Amino acid sequence: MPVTPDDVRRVAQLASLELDPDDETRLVQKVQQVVEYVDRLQAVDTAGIEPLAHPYAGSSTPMRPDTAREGLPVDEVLANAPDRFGPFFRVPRMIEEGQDD
Amino acid sequence: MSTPVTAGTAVERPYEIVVGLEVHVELTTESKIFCSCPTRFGAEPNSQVCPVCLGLPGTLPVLNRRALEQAVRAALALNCRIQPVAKFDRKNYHYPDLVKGYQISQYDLPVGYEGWLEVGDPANPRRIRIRRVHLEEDTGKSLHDQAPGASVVDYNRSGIPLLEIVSEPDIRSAEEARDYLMHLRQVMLYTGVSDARMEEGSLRVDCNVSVRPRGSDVFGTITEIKNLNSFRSVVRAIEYEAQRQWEVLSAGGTLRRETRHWDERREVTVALRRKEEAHDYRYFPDPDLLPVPLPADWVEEIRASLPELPGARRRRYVLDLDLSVRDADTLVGDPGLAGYFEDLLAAGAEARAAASWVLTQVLAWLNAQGAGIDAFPVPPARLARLLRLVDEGTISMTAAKDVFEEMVRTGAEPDAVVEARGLRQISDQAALLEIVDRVLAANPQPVADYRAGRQQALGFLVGQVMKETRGRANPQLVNDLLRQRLSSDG
Amino acid sequence: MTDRPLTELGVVETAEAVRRGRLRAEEVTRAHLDRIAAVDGRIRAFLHVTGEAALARAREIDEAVRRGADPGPLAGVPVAVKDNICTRGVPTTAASRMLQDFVPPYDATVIERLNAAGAIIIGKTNLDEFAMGSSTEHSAFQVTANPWDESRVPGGSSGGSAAAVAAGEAPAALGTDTGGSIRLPAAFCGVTGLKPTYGRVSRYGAIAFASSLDQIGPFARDARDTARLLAVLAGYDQRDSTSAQEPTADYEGALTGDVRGLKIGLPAEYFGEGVDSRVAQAVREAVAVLKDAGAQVVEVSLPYTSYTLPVYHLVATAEASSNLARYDGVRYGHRTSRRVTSHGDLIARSRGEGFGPEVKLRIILGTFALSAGYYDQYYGKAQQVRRLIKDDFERVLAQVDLLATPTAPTVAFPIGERADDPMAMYMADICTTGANLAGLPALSIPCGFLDGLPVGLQLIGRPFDEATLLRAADAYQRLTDHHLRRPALAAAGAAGGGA
Repeated sequence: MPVTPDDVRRVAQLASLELDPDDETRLVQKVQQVVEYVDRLQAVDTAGIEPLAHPYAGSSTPMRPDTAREGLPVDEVLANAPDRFGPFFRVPRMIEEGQDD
Repeated sequence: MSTPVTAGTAVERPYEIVVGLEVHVELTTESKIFCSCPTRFGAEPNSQVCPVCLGLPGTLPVLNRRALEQAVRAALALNCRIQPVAKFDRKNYHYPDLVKGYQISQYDLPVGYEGWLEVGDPANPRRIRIRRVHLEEDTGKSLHDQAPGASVVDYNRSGIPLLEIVSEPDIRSAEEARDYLMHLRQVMLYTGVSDARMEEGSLRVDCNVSVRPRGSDVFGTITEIKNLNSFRSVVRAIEYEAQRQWEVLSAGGTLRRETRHWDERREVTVALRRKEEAHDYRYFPDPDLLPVPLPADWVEEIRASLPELPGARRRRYVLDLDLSVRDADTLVGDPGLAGYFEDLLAAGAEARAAASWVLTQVLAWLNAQGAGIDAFPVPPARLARLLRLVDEGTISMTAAKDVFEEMVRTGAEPDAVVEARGLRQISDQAALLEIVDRVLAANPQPVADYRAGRQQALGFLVGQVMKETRGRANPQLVNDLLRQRLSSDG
Repeated sequence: MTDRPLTELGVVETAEAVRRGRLRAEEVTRAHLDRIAAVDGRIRAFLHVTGEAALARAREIDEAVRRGADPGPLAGVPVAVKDNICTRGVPTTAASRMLQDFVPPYDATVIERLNAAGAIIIGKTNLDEFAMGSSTEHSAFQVTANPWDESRVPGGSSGGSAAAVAAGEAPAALGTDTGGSIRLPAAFCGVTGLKPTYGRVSRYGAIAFASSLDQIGPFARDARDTARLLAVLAGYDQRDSTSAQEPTADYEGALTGDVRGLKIGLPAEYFGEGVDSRVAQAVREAVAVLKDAGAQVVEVSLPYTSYTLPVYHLVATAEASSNLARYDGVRYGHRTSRRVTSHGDLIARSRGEGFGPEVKLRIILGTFALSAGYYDQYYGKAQQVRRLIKDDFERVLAQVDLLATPTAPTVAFPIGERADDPMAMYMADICTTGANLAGLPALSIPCGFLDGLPVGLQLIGRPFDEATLLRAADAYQRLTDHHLRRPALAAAGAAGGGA
């Protein structure tokens, strides 16, 4: 299954990864190599085989009681913020919807 | 295209409107869906956040049991089939309010599917099918009016449990859409699953609208409308968008499948400026959570704990108790009021009379006080006694209203008030006949007028008897006796 | 006690001595800080040394002992922690520019457990960025050298932790293992490294790479120390929904030295093509030692072995592409300083700048494997083959108690040899990814030397049967001395070699 530079660009966009042109050429080559390698899986007969999402088949997700506990103090929440505005995280103006969501 | 179409012109439209609604409701749990942060409304920004709902590196989700119960409860109340084993999937996309770069949601095994909700006249309802009901986590909230030239994000809302309820495109008018939403909201209130208030954001609606020529069964191009803030916006947006689409098609144009934004101020839908990106969410099962079995016996327990639901109640009120659709809707729409009404029935009151009292006298008092039914000081049994006194003819309706007022004000028992104020109606036929004969004798002209065909003369004569008895005669009886006398002597 | 350097004592010996007041934790910590100062300039295992904070903690431990309290089974034991495990108030970078300045406000569960057991967190160790790699060369900050030969890689991704233990900088370390990232560096550095059964140790606080594969595990210089560490780390954690409720075992108590009747399987596919024949030979000789001690050796077959690496590269990259989506420059981590006008650009540019090339490659691969039109033939298919691989192991482990294989197909390779060749680099994992996919416990112990470089023996066991693995490893270590050898690390510039 050949992977084209367009494929890589499209996927980079899905992954929100800005690639600079130098990155891109090397990356495309490496992606092609790996995809070619993993393509050997197509030869395996998996008819009727259930996918294995977890090593534990048939387990059920643990649940917790609906009790509220205080979270982090607001200063700790914002401690690693690249750009803080009062008690908020600041980002470039989001204008598309022009409105609170 | 600038003139909005007004409601009520449906019959004249050459096209059929086809609507599907995608509704999100916030659950009423104490804590968030995957962490223990509080869900209280209106807290200081970023004060209800922990490493998990902030999406810090290394954190993991743990499911809130009550959120799952609420989801099953809602799905059952919407007549859904319940998945034997549900699961959570990741919906991957980037946005500043989405802390993990993916939302934990449900893709192919939602909690509930293939349900329905009935709208319209209970005697002849229309069934709107519900495709799915699933659980997911909410995102943070971005605000655009806090920091100059920038936006800011508050993550208090991140991780609040949401139910997403998707209908099939079975809705055929803007009004029906509003009906569906009202009914849906009532189900949420009755089951205690959500407060479902659009103005508080605990009920959010996205509309999918398309049109087609009348009689066609092919679906047209769909537009998704976002940013609807009230039921009224929903109605107006659907009508606007349907008309817009029809005009494009009629002029020979083609429609794009797109998302449009409802502009509340200008009352139009607007295409979003940014390039419509392909939404490849790359759903896959969330590996941080295990499967969610929904065992049949547990589901049945939840089903058994459901109260009488709005649909069933509406049907019972209209079809069994013979209330008007309008009265039934008002009662069903206010569970507290309906509860009081039910208590009146349990205390022996007749249904139509009870409904009338609740929706006029009681509701008027509540509105004047700005109070809820819990503040109403007259216990149902006591009011039922008052209704019985009217029903038996012991007091007139007018007198009853006075008694009601005093009962509310002083907490007195109706019988005591009636006796103390001498409001007992005269219903003794012999005594009344005596007075009727006296009045007839004293008013020969009105008698002649009545016999000559002037019905309103009767009213005058009734008034005279009431005057003689100082308003205490049973007016219905007086009416009957007068007619009897006037016809027999003719 | 005082005739041997404090950096030679190991975990159990140190803890017992400190607990009984025969040794002061402060002295032990100071000795290790001195050792780090002496050799880490050349080894570069550490990204951050806790220094004063470690000494302060050590003094607390000593104070507790003075008061008659028992500080716990790891009393005074310095532990180096891979820098993808969150430590409250201490920088945690995942060796990435993306998290260069990130300081977590919380401790991973394993850190809480170590602290409760009296351990001293002595520093954060180097890794391949976001744990993606097999050599530690993909760290954004520095390349760690193998203490046995400083021109060679220590293995990865937990190269810093393995090197730290090998170089005597700490008697214990934590790593994470997703496709072999504990076992491979353990093999290359001649130490003991354990990847527990999936779910045995809580993942809460480990910066996620591949959620259904990641496990935190210990490095130490022998099985006994490893058993003690595992006892502290293992157990159900309600903050991790994939954490196992399975009861833990008495790991130290299992170290009887007796392997009579133990059935060891040798899967043919791990000894053939792709594995250096001298490595294969060393491993067979190691197994023969156990056979002489009474174990039974059985030739077995795992036909899906050649598919483990391709399955791994689809499952792990897919999960990683999603796990790394949270690094968007909004709430923490690197944000681009170049001017942007939209949030889309902010996110894309921050990620482009913050991630290194190997991470980007894996994100692209993983996103591709999940994307519309490709999901079924890539991610979906990989999950199906994963079940076949797991069933393979299950079938064989019903006939034998554990499997023995080489940990790696070669010994440590030179720095720079494979750094620009992803496929060549990935081949280092051909023996290790199977256990991750099947969720099985696996450990690596040194079993010999080739050209002065350590060779690793891998033991793979049944789910939650770490006790049997540790028993076999301990029995082997009672009969051999490979685990006792130390790299020279003598004069500056001297190549490492056998002691």
